[in-house]
Amino acid sequence: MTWPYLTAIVVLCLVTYAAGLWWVGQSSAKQQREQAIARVEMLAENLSSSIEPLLANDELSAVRRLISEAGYQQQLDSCRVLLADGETLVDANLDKPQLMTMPANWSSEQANSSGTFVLQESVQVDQVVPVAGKGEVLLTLSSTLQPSTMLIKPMLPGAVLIGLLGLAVGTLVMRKLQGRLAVLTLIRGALRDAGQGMPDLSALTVNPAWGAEAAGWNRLISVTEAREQEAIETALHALSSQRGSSSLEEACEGLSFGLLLADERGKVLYHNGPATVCGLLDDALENGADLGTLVADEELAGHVSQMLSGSGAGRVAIEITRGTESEPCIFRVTMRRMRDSGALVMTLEDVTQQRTAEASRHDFVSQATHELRTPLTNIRLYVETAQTDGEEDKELRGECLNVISRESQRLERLVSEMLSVSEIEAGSMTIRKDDVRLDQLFKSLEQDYKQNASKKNIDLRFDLPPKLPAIQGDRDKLAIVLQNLLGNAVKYTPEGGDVSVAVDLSATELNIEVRDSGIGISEEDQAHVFEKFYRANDPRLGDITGSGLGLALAYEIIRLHGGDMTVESVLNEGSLFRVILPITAEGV
Amino acid sequence: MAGISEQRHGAVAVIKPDGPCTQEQAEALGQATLSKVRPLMGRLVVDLSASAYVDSVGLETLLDLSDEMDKCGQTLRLAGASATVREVLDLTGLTSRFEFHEDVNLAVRSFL
Repeated sequence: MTWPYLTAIVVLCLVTYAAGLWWVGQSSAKQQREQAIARVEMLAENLSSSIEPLLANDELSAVRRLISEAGYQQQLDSCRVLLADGETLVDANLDKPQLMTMPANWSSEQANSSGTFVLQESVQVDQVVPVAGKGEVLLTLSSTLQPSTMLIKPMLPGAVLIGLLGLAVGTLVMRKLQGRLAVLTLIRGALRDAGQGMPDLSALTVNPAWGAEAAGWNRLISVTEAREQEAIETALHALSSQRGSSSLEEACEGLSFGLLLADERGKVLYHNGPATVCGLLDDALENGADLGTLVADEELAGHVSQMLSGSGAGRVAIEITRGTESEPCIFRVTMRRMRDSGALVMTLEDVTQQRTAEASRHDFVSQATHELRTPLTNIRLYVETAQTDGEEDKELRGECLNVISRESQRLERLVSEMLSVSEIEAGSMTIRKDDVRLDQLFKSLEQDYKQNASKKNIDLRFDLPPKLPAIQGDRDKLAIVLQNLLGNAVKYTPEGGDVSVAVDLSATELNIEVRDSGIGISEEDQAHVFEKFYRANDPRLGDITGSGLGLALAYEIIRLHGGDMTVESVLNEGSLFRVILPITAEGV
Repeated sequence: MAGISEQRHGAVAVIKPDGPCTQEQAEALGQATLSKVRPLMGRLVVDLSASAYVDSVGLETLLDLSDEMDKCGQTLRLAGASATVREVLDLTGLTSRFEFHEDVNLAVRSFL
């Protein structure tokens, strides 16, 4: 407890003491005044009964003696007997004027009425005394009343002394109690902190030097802390054991392949979500069900049966194809029988994309080998011809070298395209997006193909908007796309035909159309023109060479740019290849 | 289906809304994809390169699709999602529900 608190308590005690003292004084003064008034009233009563016979017998001196003694002994301010007309008959103060003899004629007037008149500092009692055979006289007595302050005054020294003694004793007691009270104050503060959510209970302890109360409080805190810690540890333990099982289950649920566990009798112990939806097991699959009756695929059912009977191998891995012919779904199912428990663990993995990619790679290698063989064979044949006959025939040697050069270029282009397609297949082809100036791109394209077109007397036109924006894209790869489309258009258009390039621009996309009046593509072939190594089996192609990779490469490049490429064609009338490229805000 | 295009990359279906993934577009996306998830065992990519933004209906559709993919043990692959779409998913705390790829090709490769 601090000094301000102590001072406040002392002041409060003093004020209370003073108030009590004042109240006692006031009560006592009131009582004394009432007693004084009663005394004067009683005196008036006694005097009136004493003087009445004396006045009746005209014994005025006896009355004067009686009044005088009463006034003196009772310390009255005044004590008088007045006639009805107000003349003083007898006065205790002998110096005051008064009658010396009884009046001869008594007034027939009546004296003033009896009564007690209490003033601030005095009391007056009037008593009408009827005198037999004469008339009425008024006995009037007045006495000074002590004011209340005067009554309290004698008490003050004693009261102050008692107050000071009390203060001294109180201060000593408070000093003695201060140590104990300090502990209570600290404990009170700690309780307040605890109520406000103090997280660390050890911060609520107090100095044990403050005594037994402090030690007791600290002990309570430590016991509470220990119990709280114990409760936390118990909860953590429960949580960790619970988490152990749930996290394992959660991990199994998060697997991208189906997982199923069955006991040695074939009862399903656990299965995750993907195991349910793969379609190889019945929809009624649930824990506790008989696995043998749930296998929807006949081949798989046979293997499961063998596994459960223990007659099969310890581990089996099979691939099962489900779904439709156009949309197959290939699953790799692996089963393993646990050596000790005999339980069966089955995994069901969707490997459709892997198998599709493998098939695609296989086709690619086969086609690539075939495509490479043709120019290589030509080169080898013409090298042999040049070696055997070329020394004598210079013209033949020159022709051979031309063919070898052309085939080498073809081989180079083929290898380059194959590498590009391979990059796309492997996902390693990247698009380096930058500003592509379309006007420059088309100008360069026109220059490249103008000569080839004029050789075949083809009318090559570029219908371009007066102003072309720059778009975001890979310039080199977009150039490959346009070169392929324009190159094919010129290549497959007979002499005297038309080839046009038109560009249309909207707010969101760029539309490039390459139209020719060439040999056209059959409807059946149109569905495959963007596939790798696809070349239409069309006798009209004659000796027009091609790798079958150009359009596939162009198509993939446009797709990597987020666009699309389509073809429309009518046999013997021509083809229209349309490229749609999205235009992003930053690209314009 | 209006506003939705579909391509096959091997065994993977690539679904592409051709505009912002909102109300009508989102409903079309849901119709085009939800029924395909199980037959394809979740071999599905949503190409958002043409979707500048996504609204609450679009988010709901993507979540439905993500839930369906979960059942197949797959995470929904989003390709070419714009910064705005990514921010919407971040703000709604849904980023962890999806797998993001820069482009469709990389998303398809992730199935290998």
